[in-house]
Amino acid sequence: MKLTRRDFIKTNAAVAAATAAGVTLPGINKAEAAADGIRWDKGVCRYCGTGCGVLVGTRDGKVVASQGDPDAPVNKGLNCIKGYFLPKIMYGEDRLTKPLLRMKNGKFDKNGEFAPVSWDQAFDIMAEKFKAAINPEDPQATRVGMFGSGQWTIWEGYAAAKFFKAGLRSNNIDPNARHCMASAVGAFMRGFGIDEPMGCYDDLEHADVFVLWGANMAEMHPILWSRLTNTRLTKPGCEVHVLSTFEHRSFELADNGMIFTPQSDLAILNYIANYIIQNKAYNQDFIDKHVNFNATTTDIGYGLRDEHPLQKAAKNPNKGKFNKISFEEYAKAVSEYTLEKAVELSGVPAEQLERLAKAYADPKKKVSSYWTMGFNQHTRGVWVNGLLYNVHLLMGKISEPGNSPFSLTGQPSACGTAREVGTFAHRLPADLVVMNEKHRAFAAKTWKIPVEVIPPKPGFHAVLQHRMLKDGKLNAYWVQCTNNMQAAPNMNEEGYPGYRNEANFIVVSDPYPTVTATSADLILPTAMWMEKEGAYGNAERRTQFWRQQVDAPGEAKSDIWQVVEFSKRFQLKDVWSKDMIAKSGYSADKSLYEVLFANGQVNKFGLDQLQKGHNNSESKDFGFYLQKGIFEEYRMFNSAEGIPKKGHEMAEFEVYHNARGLRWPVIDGKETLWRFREGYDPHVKAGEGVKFYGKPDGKAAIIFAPYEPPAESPDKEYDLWLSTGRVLEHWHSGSMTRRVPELHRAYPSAQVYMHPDDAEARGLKRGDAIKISTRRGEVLTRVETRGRNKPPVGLVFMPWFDESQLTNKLTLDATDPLSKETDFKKCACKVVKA
Amino acid sequence: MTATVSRFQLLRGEIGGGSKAIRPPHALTEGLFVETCDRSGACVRACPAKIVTKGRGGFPTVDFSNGECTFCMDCVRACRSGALDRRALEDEATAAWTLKATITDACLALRGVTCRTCGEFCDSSAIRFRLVVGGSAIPEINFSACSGCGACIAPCPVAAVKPDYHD
Repeated sequence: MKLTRRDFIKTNAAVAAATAAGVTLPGINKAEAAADGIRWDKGVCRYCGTGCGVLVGTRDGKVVASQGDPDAPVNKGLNCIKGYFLPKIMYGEDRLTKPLLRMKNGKFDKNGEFAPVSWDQAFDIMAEKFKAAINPEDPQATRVGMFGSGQWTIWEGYAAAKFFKAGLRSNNIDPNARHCMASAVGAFMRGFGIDEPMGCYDDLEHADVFVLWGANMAEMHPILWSRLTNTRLTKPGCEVHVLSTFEHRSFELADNGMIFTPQSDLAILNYIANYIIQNKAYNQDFIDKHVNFNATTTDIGYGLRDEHPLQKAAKNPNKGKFNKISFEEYAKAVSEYTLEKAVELSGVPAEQLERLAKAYADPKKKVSSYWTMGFNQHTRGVWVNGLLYNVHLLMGKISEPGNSPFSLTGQPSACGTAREVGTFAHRLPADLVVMNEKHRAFAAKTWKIPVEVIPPKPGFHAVLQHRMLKDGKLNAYWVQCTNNMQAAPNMNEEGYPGYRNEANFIVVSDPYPTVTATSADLILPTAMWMEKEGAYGNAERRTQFWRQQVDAPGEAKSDIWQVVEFSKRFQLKDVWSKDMIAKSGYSADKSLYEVLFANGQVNKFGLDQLQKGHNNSESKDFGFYLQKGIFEEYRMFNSAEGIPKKGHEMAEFEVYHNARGLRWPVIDGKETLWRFREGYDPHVKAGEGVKFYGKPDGKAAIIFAPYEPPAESPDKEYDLWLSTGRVLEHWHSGSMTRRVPELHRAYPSAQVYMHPDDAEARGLKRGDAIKISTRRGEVLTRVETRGRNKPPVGLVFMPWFDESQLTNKLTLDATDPLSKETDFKKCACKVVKA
Repeated sequence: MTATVSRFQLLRGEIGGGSKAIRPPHALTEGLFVETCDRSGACVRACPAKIVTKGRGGFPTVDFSNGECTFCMDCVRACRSGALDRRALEDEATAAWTLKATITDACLALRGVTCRTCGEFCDSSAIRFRLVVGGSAIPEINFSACSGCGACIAPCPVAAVKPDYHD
């Protein structure tokens, strides 16, 4: 990119000056455009689930500057180091600009070298391979699949899910949010019957007590951490509790920092519930009116392959059923979790656990709890999410300012896209599911297709997709907007053999030649971020839009263009049975493009509605305002009359282009900050007080679940816990941030953080080359005994952003049997000098 | 504070001492250094970190954009002219220089951007980030702990950390 540092700082300084003078965005737009030819417009950060607003400056067809948006309610002008360098993610030297196919002698060959081909050639071979894996008369024999993303825009996820479920008749579509948020989703559905947090970021200013459960907000959600820090430093009596399996940067602010033995969070939470009951601190009125008690099925296995000994040993593998119990039975169940037992299992000193329990049990203190991957990437992730809700529900500390159990998200649209538009293997848009006949019927009616088209059985989830690829039961596979070869667990035994299985054809769409892309057979060059009109939904239910600011390089096309264009390659007779076609009334020669996208709904809005001065590449190609058409069809699921599930209402398309995002449900143009409580949520009628309307009886479910051990623990040979995760400077697999020179310099290579005593015991000095290995693989890296992460003796931490050190060769593909989310935080490893 | 001005700086009119060259550790005071140094390049060749480079007029200067000084003393050992003070080889307590890291206004953390890069590279914990009202963490340098090793300089994403003589 041709922007000099001087230009960059100059333009940012200009914006900073303008905002200091109180000038809002339109003012900046004009002033800046006049002064130096830079056009400023609002955008959303490309990285985490915080959803920071950024101002994006464009000149001569390039994004040349960005700045935290001072008018964005989420970040109020703040930014993290990744966000500061956002424009550079689009201008890496190795941007892909042409489709690349593995070829030998001018033809596709699984073992050939990548060579440039045209889009036509790319779609030709792709259509051939997909059609070969589809049997129109027998969906059981259909072996196509897709892996998508919580980084897809809302319309990209919707279009892909519709293409698979309503077009190809396959539910084998799943997003990378499976690795990230699936456990949170599971607990929302079990506890409240509706997905996503009841509270919002405003709780960061309202709470008296903050508790972090397996979240290093200081590095992973730095802007929210800034807001939390500000409250801690300015509000008298405010305190911060931090729980983790190793000490990290969030401990700097901790009044009560606790290092616990991996998996013992289950016991600590049950102890807190027990403490509340023993001290009769619970909110009797709230419990009587708004809660029922349940116990979940236990001994459920570890989500491994069925033939794995741990799966065979489990009494109730994969069972999620929970049954009603009385309050007394619940009290008895948690009574086993005494302070002594919690101390024994967790290793946390008694007075610290007691201090934490007291904070929850104090009726005068507003408590907000935050968690991310420590809870979600957990073989009992759904349980542990639920155990925290139990504590909040016992106290009635929920759904009001400052009292908030809050699931933070890792991706910019894990909520808005992956969860809300139905890209999971079991889901349909707006919280509907494929297993429910009424939901399928509603979706089919909305999509104007016969109900039989949508398969009633959930498809392959993320980890299962890799297993099925390896086993040759999934043969045509498309990955968009994610680097799953690097991100998925147990790469050596499952992911890589799956991609390179001769029986399979793998397509990867990406802006860059990632580990995943280079493991594929066909790579499609992809437009990213500001090269398309987009929409993301962040962790606090805020839906945010941006307009296309620049054109993509070369022949790169956005994910939605790829899906919609590819749908033209299928006629109904290729994918639907004769009976279905007859029932639909459509001609057998009709293309999926016509049935799914040129269906009178998606193509309803003309090009005359596009914003002047901004290109919209996809709409111009297809001849209608594609993004608006998709969003308005999606609104038929969440806002139309007679929808099966209320509570996800959204405003009309144009409203979002003129707002800094709105938090759903949006009713009569008004957003909702706290759900389920009268006065805040329009779905709760006067006099009802609190109503958990996602459940038929309006009551939230407290679900008892016990402590059960992790899938793999350290032993004599593999004597250390391995926990994996992120660092501030890099985002996820580093496919964007490692192409920003400044970020690369700031954190060039992954390393293993280790306690100095563990290093000494292995004859290691700080900075030594080491080999870290597990039963599944080994990685060469270096040891770090100082710095931001300070693991206890017996545990090491390794970030996974570095493609030259593939951390997921080490991890175990044990998942939560209920959410199917991998536990990336616990397996056994050993470290020796390299 | 009296600024020592080198012959080169004097000839160029750089008498403010602002762009004073950074000499290898244990260099004599600038005037003496310039008179004593034989410009053989022995220290440049000796430096394992490659931070000692040939500067203006052939005199060695330290360039932290290449890395940090580990105070290995190889440059001092290699010096035949005495421009780098060999007495330091016997007395480990001698300070290598009065160089300290300084954070300039360009610093991202001072401008509402969460960045902790320099602190992460500081082995002597001289750079600490203090959480402040408003929510960000701002860098503070404890000069008595700062060795002037320069490890924090190259990684700074906006080149806001500069080496500065404190004498």
